[in-house]
Amino acid sequence: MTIFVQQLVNGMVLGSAYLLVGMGLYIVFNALHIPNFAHGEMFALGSYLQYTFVVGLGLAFWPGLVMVVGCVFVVGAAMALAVFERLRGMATTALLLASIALSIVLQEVLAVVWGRDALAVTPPVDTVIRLGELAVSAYRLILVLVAGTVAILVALVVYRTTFGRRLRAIAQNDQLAALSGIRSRRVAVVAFALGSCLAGLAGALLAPALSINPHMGLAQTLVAFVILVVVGAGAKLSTVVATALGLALLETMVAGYVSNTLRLTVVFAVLIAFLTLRPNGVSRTAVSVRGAL
Amino acid sequence: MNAGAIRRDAGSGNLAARSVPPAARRSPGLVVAALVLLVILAPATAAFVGGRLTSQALAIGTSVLLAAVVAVGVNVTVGFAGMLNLGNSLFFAIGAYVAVHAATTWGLPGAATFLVAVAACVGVAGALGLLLLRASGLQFGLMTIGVALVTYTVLIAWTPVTGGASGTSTAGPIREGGLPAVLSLGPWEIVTPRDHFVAAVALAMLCLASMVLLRRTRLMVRWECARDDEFLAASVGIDVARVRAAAYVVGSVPAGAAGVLFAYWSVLVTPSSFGFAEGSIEPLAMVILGGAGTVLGPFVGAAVVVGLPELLRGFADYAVLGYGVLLLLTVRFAPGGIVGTVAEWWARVRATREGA
Repeated sequence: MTIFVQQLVNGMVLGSAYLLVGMGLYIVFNALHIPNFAHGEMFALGSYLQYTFVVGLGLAFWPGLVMVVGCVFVVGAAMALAVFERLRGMATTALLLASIALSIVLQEVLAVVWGRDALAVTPPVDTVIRLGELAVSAYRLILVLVAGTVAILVALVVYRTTFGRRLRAIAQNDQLAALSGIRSRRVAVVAFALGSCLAGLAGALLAPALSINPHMGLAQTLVAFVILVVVGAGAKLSTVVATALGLALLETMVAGYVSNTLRLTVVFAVLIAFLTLRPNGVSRTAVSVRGAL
Repeated sequence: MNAGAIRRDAGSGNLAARSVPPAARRSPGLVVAALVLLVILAPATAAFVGGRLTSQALAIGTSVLLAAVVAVGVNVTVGFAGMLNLGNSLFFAIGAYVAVHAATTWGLPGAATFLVAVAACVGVAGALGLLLLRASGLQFGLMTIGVALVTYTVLIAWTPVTGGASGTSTAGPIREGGLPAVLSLGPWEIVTPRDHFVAAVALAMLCLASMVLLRRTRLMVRWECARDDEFLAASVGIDVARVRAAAYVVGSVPAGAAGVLFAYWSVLVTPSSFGFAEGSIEPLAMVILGGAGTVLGPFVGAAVVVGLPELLRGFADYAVLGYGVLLLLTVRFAPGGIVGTVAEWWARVRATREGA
């Protein structure tokens, strides 16, 4: 039972990272139709920047977090303008190739700037909450709360603000949106930056829980893509959150009860089984509405 | 989402003209004769030249050629059939580990090893293809990434068969001297680095010749149709899923054969050669850089991705960064890759000359 609760908590922690990263990619893919394979590198960049701000510059953890979000937002916007705006109109496959190339480049840049050895950040609070045999570090609970709050904020932005309305408009039909006076390119760049900084935030939040290395983004990218494909196009962000948490729980339970090396294998086995049964994802939407957010 | 439009974006609007390549107008007999000559003469030349090369040059040559053979397989799925295959490391691994077992426990001769490895690849690819090819485009790409990750995990976790993370080798027991196994192909025994180089040349030329012949088949036309527009292809009676499954199976064969030669050449086989970046992304990068869908592209790409870092030893730390940047620039500015771009330029030059 202790193992179960422990893994449940671990699953929630992992799930908070997955839901932020997954939401980011989901927004980018649905609004801009870019299968951004370099999404996980924004997660890695978030971790590295947090390391620099906290360990290198001696900032406090939470102000550092805010600065990371700002920095990754700028990097994301720059990436959208410098790379993806120039690849507009290309087929999905070509875009995926380009973003794979971009992720290789970014990983190597991270390695050149911060070195290839693993780095670590200490958590801002090191209290451990004990409930009987169960021990959970307070930081992990805070992390889950922060991620949940951010997810709600993002949902509010997407579904309740003018920007969100524009974003959903370009997701549904870019040209019609432009015809009705939306500056679709500007919205697209901001959406890309927003998606990126969600991944960056997740990276910074999880920095104390992970060993920071240049290739840490790959696992996040893969999970975000699994979420993207499982959810399918045209679902609400709440589905993304549910899928992310479910995936994280599956992964931690496999790690806890079966074997730690098999965790990603099981995730992909489930993915293949799932796609065999439901090639278009969980959401049952008409083809005409696909691509909406 | 239609796959492989990367070549269509290359500005080659003359699809009709391209579907009947000039080579197809030459008589088949002449082509076959030329290819047979190539497959015989190239290794013979390699044997002659190989004697004068340093062992370092031989090693670079062999690794470039083996990488090229793997890339030829990736080119079938990615370039010819337009499926984003990111899981090719599986078949390279099957070839290599089959070779290790053939050399140590089964005691198979060389030719039989190649047959078993290729048969295993075809069987696995056929079975997997049934599952994977229910999806297409992005979903297919993601599932093949899954295949690559599962392959790597299995190689590490299945210790009794694969030796786990520390790997396994073709060498015999230490008490018998721990000598590397010798690959014997009929009367020809492959022992020295020069022999391995010659064998790699022979395998590469065999692949090259098969690709030239493959391009003249109906299957190739079907692949190109399915790649350029799957709905249009289906509308003229092409069974897109089946044609793609065929590409997946055909593409697995060169990787399996290269795996066998790789295992005998490198002696020690560890999972690190079959990771996602080394086993799947690098061959893909070679295909895209060299020219997806061209016969020579994979060879040029392998020379760039594997060969250049060897020549620029001082910048070894930046090799991956270099090919990443090159790949990004290729996708943006020259979607036809090196060979595709040169061929297009040459076609334009010829067209102006004939017009003048």
